[in-house]
Amino acid sequence: MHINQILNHSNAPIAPLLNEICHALEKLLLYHENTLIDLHSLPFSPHDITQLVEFLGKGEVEAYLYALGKSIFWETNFAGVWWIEHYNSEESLINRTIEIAYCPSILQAQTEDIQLGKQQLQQLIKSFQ
Amino acid sequence: MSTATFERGYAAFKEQIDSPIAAFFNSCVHCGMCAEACLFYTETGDPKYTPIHKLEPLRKVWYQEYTLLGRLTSLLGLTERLTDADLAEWKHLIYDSCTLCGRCSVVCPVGNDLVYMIRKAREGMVAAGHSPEGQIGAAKRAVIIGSPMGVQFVTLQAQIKHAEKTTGLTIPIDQTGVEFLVVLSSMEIINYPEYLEAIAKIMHQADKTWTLCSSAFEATNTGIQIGSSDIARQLVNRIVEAAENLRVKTVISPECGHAYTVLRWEGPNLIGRPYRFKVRHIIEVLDEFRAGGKLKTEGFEEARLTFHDPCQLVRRGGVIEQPRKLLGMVARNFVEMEDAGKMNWCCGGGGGVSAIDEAEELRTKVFNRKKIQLEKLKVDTLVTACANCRIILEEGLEAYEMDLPVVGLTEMIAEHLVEDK
Amino acid sequence: MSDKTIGDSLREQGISRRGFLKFCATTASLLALPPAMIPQIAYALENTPRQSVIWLSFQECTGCTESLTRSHAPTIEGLIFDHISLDYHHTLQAAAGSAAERAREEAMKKNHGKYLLIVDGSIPTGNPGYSTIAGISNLDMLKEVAAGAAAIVAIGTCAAFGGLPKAAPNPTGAMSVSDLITDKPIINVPGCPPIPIVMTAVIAHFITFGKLPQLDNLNRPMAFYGQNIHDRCYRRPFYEKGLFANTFDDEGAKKGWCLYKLGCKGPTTYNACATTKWNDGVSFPIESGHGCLGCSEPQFWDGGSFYKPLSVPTIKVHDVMAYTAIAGAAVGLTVGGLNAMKKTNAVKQHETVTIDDLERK
Repeated sequence: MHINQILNHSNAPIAPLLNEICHALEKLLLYHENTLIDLHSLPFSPHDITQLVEFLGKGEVEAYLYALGKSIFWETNFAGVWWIEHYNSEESLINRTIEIAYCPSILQAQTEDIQLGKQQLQQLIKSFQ
Repeated sequence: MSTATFERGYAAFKEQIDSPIAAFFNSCVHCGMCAEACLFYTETGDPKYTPIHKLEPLRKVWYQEYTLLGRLTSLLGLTERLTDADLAEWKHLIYDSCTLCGRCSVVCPVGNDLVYMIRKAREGMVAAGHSPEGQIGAAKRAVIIGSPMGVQFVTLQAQIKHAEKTTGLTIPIDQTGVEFLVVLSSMEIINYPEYLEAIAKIMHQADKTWTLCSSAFEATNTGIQIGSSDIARQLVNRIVEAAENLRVKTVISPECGHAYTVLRWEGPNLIGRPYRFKVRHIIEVLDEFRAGGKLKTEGFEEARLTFHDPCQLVRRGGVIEQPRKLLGMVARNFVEMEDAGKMNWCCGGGGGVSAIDEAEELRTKVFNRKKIQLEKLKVDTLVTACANCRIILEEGLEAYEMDLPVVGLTEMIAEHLVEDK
Repeated sequence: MSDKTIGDSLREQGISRRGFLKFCATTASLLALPPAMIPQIAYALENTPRQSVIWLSFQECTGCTESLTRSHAPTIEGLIFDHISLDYHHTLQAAAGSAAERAREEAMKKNHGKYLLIVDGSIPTGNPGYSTIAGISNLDMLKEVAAGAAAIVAIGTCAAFGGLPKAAPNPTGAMSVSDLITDKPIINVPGCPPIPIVMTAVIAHFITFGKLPQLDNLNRPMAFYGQNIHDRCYRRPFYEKGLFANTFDDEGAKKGWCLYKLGCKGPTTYNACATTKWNDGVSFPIESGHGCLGCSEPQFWDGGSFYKPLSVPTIKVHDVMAYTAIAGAAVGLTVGGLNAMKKTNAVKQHETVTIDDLERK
């Protein structure tokens, strides 16, 4: 749908949000700084959300995380703009955010997990010997 | 001889209702935000002081005369018609408890200019003979003697002589072709003669030509306060005539809030044509001097001080930055009051309220807001740029037994002038 | 209080660091904190031991507890709830009778000065017999337990402001917690009932940061009660445009216009319903077509009809405006013409006011 149509048919602050995303992209390019926008705190109706998803579209990457329930990540048509939905173990949506980053921070392997993984692998290797 | 009557007042209300007023009454959503913005409501908690409620007589006329259903129900006798008793009751609300400070106009979510409406309502009150005695007296003195406080030119002449002696400078009177015409408020002539000395010193240092005018020295306008455009027009015309006869480029409004509003914003509408000169507030002029390097000061005030923004300056005039820039030249220890600038709280005595004796008790009560603001800041000096605010502040501080000197900004600047000439 | 932290127990359950971060991110959202606070939350959760909680229910309908347990599915809020030690809650606990009271006394002794006291329901002060637990009057129990609490959370409008029991004529002499306890930090979480997430978020805030969140003048957490319903309402743009529903089944209602004229208390009610919503974020009253009742405000029950618009002037201007709008559409032109004439006449009749006219003679 054309952006004007969305803006004309919606009461939600979509235009300011798009501007915020744009500024976040500038920040990302200039300072390599990520931005997280919590959609939960904005007065968007389900219809507004559907329209926003439609407008941002789905890009080349989609990913799932399974930790305390499922989480879905996809890059939108705009590179560096990620749509993130966290679900709980009962599959109800608990949080919806947009992250502006090269890769969503939570998708990257975390140092603590890597350390733990390394220990486990070392033990495994030891058990072979 | 004609006289004020209810019928005449009713006709005046009818005449005052224009399309903005009709639109305002129609769009009011009764949210009550104007109440929270009004000093008289917040300090008393009495809902009758809700600004839009103060306009009930005007609303009744609008409803009865200009709405279809209102007319039908009036015809059938179903509507309570506006009565003289209503007006008598509303006198307290329309005059005593409104300083035309304009905070309500700023907060209204649908953009109703409530001050504009009060001004219009006062026109009806005047025609109906329900304006306060104090203001009637002031208006009479302004028209007959030339000043609401009854100050005559001879009084000013005495002050001029005194100021010339103190400063060693000549104070020009009725000079043609100069850059500035300086007009004063009676309060400055009587209570704060230092203002005139300050102007003389500043103009001298800035190398500017200026003059006072013997036929138009008074800038205050009781016509606007009482709510009579006819009287206001008469008073503003004096200055317009003087300025145009003397061919000055700019008229400088004194440190007086409503004088500035009338001269700068209402005047051309009152006389029905644009001026052939500019109008600036003294603070705006001083700031222009500052920006142009024409204002050189030395030394700093040691006291911890704050600035009380006159309502008419900030909300009607947008003069917010200028006093701060000027204070920056002479004060190191400046602190901002809560809500400073555009949303500053009124001193409680503007819009002619200071001239109403019956309003004094209420005025002192609502000064509580200013008292609390000042107590929080713990300042040694209070600076302002309006002689009326200054008097009210001094009275209020005295009533609450607070020992705090109040100073005019122009004088403060003048005290720090580099006297190299 | 055990020394185990929330971070510890998540790890014990085999939850990865990613899971922990997800937990922190959703907690931040839950607490309405900016995402930039996530690292601070992670740090706090890693290092905070389990919190002892004592829950007292007085003159109440159990609606608040019902509301809370509705959020008790294994969600993020649930996780937080799992990581407090709920030492006494007479509706939820398994123990009964003297065993239950012993649990309360033990918890009080063991965690004196450190436990969090949650209260729902108002306290009758008329006759202590109106409401007792184990033979102890509500007032005595509140005073006894409050004495050793680190802070008190008054859950629900009854505990926060007196609520329905305090409504006129207040037969039991009901009072709120803050009417009776003045020497402890009190957080009011009003609402009838409060939004479940708000309750857990307040508890979460206390256990993550060990102190009260920022409160407003009625001691309500700013994060949830900082803005009124109206400002965050998706119908607000209709209000701006002056588009109102005048009845519950007119065109305006069907088009979802502002419910202000139907008595919606959104403009004067501070709560998070418009963004947090109810029933797992499904909807909230205004979205379901009914105005806000203002249940999180003091004296909401005594504020007049729920269907009366806020600040009604001396005559029924709303009805009038509605009729004029309908009639005006049809005859607007004629009226406009008539008004213009009337106005012109009024101007023509203007007699100049001079200073001699100011008084009546």
